Amino acid sequence: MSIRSLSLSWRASACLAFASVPVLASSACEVGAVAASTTTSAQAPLVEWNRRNAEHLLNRAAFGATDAEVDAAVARGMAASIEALFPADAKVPQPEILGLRDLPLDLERPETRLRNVEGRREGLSRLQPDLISPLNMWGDWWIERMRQSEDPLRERMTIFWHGHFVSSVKEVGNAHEMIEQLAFLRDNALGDFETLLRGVGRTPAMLAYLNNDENVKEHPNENWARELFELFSLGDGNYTEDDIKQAARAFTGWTDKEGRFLFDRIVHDFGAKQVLGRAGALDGDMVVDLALEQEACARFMAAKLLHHFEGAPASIERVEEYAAFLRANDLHIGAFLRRLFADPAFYRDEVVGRRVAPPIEWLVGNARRLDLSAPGQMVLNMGDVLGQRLFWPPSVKGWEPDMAWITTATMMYRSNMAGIMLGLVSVQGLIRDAEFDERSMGDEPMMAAAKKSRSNGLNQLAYIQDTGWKPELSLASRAKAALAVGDARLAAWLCGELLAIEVPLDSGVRGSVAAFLARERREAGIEMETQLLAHPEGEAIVRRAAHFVLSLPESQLN
Amino acid sequence: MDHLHQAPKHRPDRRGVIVGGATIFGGMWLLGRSALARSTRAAVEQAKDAPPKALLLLELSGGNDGLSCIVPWADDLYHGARGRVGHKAETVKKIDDYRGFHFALANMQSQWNEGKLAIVEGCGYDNPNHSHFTSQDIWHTARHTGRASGDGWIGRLMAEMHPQDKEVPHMVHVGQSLPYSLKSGSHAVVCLDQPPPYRWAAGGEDIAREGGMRRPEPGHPLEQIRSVVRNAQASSSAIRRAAAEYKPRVEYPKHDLGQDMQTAAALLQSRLGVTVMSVTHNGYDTHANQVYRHDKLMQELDGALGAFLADVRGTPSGDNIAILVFSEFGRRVPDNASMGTDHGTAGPMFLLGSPVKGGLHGKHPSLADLVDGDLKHTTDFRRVYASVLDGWLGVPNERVLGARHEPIAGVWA
Repeated sequence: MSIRSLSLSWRASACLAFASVPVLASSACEVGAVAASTTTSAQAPLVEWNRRNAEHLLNRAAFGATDAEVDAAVARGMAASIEALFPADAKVPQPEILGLRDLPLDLERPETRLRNVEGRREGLSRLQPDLISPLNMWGDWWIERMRQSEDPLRERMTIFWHGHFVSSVKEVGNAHEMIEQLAFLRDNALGDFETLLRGVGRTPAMLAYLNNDENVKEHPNENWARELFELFSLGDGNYTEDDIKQAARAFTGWTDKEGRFLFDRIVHDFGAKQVLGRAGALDGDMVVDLALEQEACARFMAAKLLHHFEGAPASIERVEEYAAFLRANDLHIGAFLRRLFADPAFYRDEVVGRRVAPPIEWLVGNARRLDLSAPGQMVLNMGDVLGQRLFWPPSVKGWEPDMAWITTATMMYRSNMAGIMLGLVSVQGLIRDAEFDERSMGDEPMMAAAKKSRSNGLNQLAYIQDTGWKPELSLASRAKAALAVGDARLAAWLCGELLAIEVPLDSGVRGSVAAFLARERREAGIEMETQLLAHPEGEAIVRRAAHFVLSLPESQLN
Repeated sequence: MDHLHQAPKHRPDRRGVIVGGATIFGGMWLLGRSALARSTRAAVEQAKDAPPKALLLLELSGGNDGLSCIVPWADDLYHGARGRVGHKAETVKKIDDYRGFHFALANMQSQWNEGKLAIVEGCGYDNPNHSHFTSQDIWHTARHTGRASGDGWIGRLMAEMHPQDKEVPHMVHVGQSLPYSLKSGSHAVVCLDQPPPYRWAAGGEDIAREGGMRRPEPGHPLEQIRSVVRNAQASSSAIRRAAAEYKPRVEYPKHDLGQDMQTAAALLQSRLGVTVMSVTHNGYDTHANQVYRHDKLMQELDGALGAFLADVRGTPSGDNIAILVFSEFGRRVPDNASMGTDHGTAGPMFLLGSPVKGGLHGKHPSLADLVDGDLKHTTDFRRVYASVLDGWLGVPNERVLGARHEPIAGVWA
């Protein structure tokens, strides 16, 4: 009873929040905040709302913040800062690209979604421009939303769900279907888990990616049923092999036609099955119900969400606490996140500033902190170079978190991507490797040819640079406006502005940035520290110092 | 610790490499590049006579269909279960009157004919797990508990083989993301997808020197990142040089695996100090359209292996490379209606290279005795690891695998 009424109050507050009357909207928010806090207040000492904690919230729930944005969040207060992450728009803004939804679907279908075996793969490369261009449009729009929307948590959670309910355009072979799936995930990113789990299995992209569109009564295909349990809802160990085989039968006939979900009765297995301890003539929706009912489901999602937002696996107790909350709130993701962001444990030392920033977060965060309008295509391709290629997750498990992002190569590449953003690094130069290339290319053309064969984001980045893109930055004048004059103060300003984490005064980081500035300044013949920002070389030197800061290990954390 | 004291006896020139390597990789970021060049030359001089033994680990990721790779062409049960994706007997390259190679495995067949391919059939483990990720963890750690048991098996191997020189890149993965087998809490791992851009641009290397040198903060992720930065800095120039100066004797296929194998060949023969090189071939999760997809994978695999072996055979270091090919599981015996196969269990492992003595090992699982449509494994995969450890790298396998496993006998020349 109480569970039901609590969830009803959530629904009610959500509905009210969507109302256009401002008074109602704000009072609805209070209700939500109270509902969330009553469940935590027992063990909750208050969170001291300072710059550290405000920036932490914006690092983890948005895409990072400039100094000014941190100050604004501190002034706004904690409750209002959390509330601002759940903007009360009745309608989630949709990109213009979704105008494509109104286009006749057949426009794309015959070429890119060939049913024959070769078509899936060969069609992809043969028709790459057609296939990729709508995704590029969506990507441009999406990256821009990440960089400067008032709804950043939704965009973050869309990335999260993209890495959870994985489909890849490589297998799906259809940009339109990928966009539809991402739009679905985005619409429901902060809603209840049931809608997501039930709906994603009906998206044509998922039907194609895990082959359920070919799952028929005779000799079922287990791919979707297995990942539904293992990766999407329960986790390994919470079902049996037989559960998968029987569940696969229940999903026979879930397919699509002309871009829409279709239940094909002819190939559905109407026979009796037994799945997760329930017997009967189960169909796909009943299997989804059974998965949602499992104790393991809330536990699995609580663990995954906590890990994602806190940057490390949570303790068993903490997972159980949040799993119980999820169960009590109809697996509502928005409710979960409101509670987490208000939880003092979310602000403890073991959590703050210790999470490896995934590439897209890191890149968008840099663009935000630099106040740089980087083209979406640039950010997407940089993400590819750094190991996070949106629309092409590496496996059905999505992207590995934490230290998996950090390899010897990606540490170099992160520095180089920052250099490109700052206008300091030439991509062509990187691809060529002038230091060693001359020798090898002179008498060994085979090797030179070999280097170019692997397709990657670097080639795309070189193309973007070749079109003449240059960053529009004025770091020197920003520093001046912030009164960051003198090597030490400028170094402190750069660290504060460009790093997502606080560096302790005694860590030596600021000192090394200041020393770098002093060295560069003297080399440019600028004797007085106070003259740097006004000097013609000033902007270039500040940018090199910014490159220094963004290349540091400290920059990789948020 | 006996084997550690014995190690120099088995590999008398190894010590020179270690000393040279330690100087390079421990000290380069302090000494600067010219010192690196001198150290590299010194290491090369000292190590010229006897290149160290090396292992190339090739993972077929996604679950290779063993039955389509080594095909039991004479088994009626095979043809009965694989009506959609099976290979007709006449297309198979016969090994004997029961099994044969997938038709695209021409190079594998010639290795077999030359006595340089060991096939270990029916490899798997008890209570097989059908999750890619759980099963990969089991193969990568050689423990049923997977990641909970700590480092990867290669990481543990490095701790046994190279207890002192932790900074030398004894483990290199060619690819974008590191497999867990190379996970090590103590030893340097190098990971790169391609050599030319494996560097800092615009003064980034100086920055890295700053960033890699700060005071230790035990337990903090910054500590780990700094260690990766140091490994990156120590390996950047040497790896690009090795790849740029490398002159392959054959043309490698243009696909990713072919290119990765060329990079592997360059680095393995470079005297960088690589003991284990890792390469991943992706795409084996053939739930649908298997015929086309798996045929293409076999063609890529065979082309890349053939090029690599032709390239390195006969060079002193090339003849000291053993290749181990594995996959996290095989596939279900009956095919599904979407022209594919679902996750299964046992499959073959392969050993190739000059050090290998060819032959058929293990036992082909019976197609008449299935568990829920799955093959019963006949050989624990750790026995093959044990052969590599005991018989090739000279490390008692229990030190790495946690418990003693009986090595597969007769796989080394």
